Amino acid sequence: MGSVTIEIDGRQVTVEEGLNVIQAAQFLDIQIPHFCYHEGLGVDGNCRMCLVEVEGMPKLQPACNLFVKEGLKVRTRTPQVMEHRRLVLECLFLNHPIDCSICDQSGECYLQDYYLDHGNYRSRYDLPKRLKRKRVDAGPHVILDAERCVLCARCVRFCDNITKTGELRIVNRGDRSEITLFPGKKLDNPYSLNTVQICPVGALTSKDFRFSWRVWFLKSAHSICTGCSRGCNIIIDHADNHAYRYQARCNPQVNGYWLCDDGRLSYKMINDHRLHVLTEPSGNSRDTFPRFEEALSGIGRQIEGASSVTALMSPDLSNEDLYAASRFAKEIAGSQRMAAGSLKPDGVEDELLRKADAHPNTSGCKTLNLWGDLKPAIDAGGDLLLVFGSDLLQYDNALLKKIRSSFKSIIIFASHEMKGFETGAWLIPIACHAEMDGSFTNFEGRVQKFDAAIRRRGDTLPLWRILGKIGRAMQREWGWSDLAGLRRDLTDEFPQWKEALIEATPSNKTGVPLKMTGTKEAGEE
Amino acid sequence: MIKVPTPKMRWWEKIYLFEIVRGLCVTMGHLIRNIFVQKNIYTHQWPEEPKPLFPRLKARHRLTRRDDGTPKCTACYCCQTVCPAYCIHIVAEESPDGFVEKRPKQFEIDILRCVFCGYCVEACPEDAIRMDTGDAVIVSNHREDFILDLKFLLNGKGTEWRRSRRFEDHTIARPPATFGE
Repeated sequence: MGSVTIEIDGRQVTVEEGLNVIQAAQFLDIQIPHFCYHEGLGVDGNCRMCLVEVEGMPKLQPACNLFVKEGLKVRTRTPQVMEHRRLVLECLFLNHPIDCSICDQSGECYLQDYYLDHGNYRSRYDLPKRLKRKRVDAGPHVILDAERCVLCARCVRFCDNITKTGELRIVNRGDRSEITLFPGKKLDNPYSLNTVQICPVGALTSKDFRFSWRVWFLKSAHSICTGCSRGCNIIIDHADNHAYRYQARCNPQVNGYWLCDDGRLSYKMINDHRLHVLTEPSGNSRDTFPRFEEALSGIGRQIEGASSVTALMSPDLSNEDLYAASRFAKEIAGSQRMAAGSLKPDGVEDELLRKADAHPNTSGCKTLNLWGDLKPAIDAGGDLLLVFGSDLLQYDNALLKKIRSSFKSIIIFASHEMKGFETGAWLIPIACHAEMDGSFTNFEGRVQKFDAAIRRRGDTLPLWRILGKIGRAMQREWGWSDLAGLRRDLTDEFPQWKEALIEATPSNKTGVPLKMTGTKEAGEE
Repeated sequence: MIKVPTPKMRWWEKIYLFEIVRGLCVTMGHLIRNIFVQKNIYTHQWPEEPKPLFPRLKARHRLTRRDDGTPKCTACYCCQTVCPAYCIHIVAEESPDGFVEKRPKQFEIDILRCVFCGYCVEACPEDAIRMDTGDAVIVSNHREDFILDLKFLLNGKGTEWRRSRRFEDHTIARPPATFGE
């Protein structure tokens, strides 16, 4: 791919060949308004909002369908272009309801933004507005409001080209045209909520997020979806220390622009059924500070007194937590058996995004040489069982009974409530992925960092921190004061992670694939 | 730096004696005037004689209703957004009537935090919140009585101040305190 130099609004920019003018203009922070164009869906050219003036062409040209070539001169804010945008908006607003106060999209609505930037006129339309269907139940997750639709056909193209299910169509002509479902069909493909995210106005809204919060209160954090081993890049939108939704974040190497519905709705695990307080085997919670510290030294004594220790790790933990847990099991607890594995049944797999493996960090366990079968370790029994991660023992009641009978004492580090272990085990609350910085390795071996979104609740701490606390309570010089130190230790032992964990800059949001040759080279030195 | 010159005192001011007498003259003047012309005394027999309020006074809030009795408020959160004191707390829900899709499920104003700036009234696109009740004096012995809820705010103009509301209605779920590391 060569690069070409073009001129936009009198400024030169050199971009890759094959981009269109909307994309090229973004390198100069020039936003060209558009409704129907979406990078993931390609050019459609039906909204006519992105027309720009091009030198040597008598008429305005659509910027989405104008690809860069050497010497192209574009002007995006001439009086002619601005007048054109105003007229397009006036046409779109003829029958558009002023629903902003109840519309979920307000605050991130293209129509609202463009009206304030380019419209700003008084309506000349004094006929009654054409009424269309409102509040149509389009599918299990989506509600359609045909009045708010600007007929950009993004959702239609998504269902046709991306999921290839084709539930939606535009019917009728002129001001009667509207989005509709085929008779008897529902928008119930497993990616239906993407249509809500790409809808530039509030025509398609999510049943889950509907009316729950206004978007201008939300703050965003870059994170990774934990629904399966794909590791889709997401934005966690949160407010008041409560997660409200996941939005897909573009990463062409992993998930493109999309996210599946199950993953998108899995944000609820951040808020619900969380373990807040440290609970001792009798079921009493230790929710005040001195009692918490006291409990940690009690746990330390129990670990020291145990003759045989088994450690189980969950592939839901981050790479850093897994490494800390394995070091803790080896060096502090001196465990004889140690395995990371899963008892969770496989999920659905398809060719677009979803993977059968329902854990975000199976690859990480394998790269850290921890992966193994849990059942032999459980069958062997022993004095003390250390469980790292809350998803391990939730799927098999017979197994749960067996664990309780074959181990004398159990210590569980869990982010969520543990059914069946309300008594009879130490329950130590740990932070979930939204509450701490860390990294996951997806099924292709790509290490992706994530940022903390919300504050930790209750007594929760990241696993590696609480392990350090227990180590210190046992009078051992063990643990790390910060994540950087932990990552340095991890990369000393596994040098192939170095680039991904230490050298990758925060701006690198696409993740770094692991180089499997790294270990060998380090060995030679 | 600006230097402000202190006015110099003259010698009779420095003695203070004449100044004390001059000050007492003011006091005595008021006293004598009030003894002989009593109707000019600036005194209110409050609370028996309530002080007249200006019509534009920003008093306690109320929520208005549509003709069919439903609240005009659509839970757009504009008032909560502009409120500089963060005293408005709204929870929205889907309305079953099909006329307007959204309605407030909870609408609470913490009147102790409110600074009576009137921004909420300015921001409301539906003319749903007004500050024209004339309730300027709000008294209670219980802190929880100052959290006005949707039902109370809809009760309209000049309602009697409701007492002895208990805190159970307004329990706000708070996460447990976080331990320092």
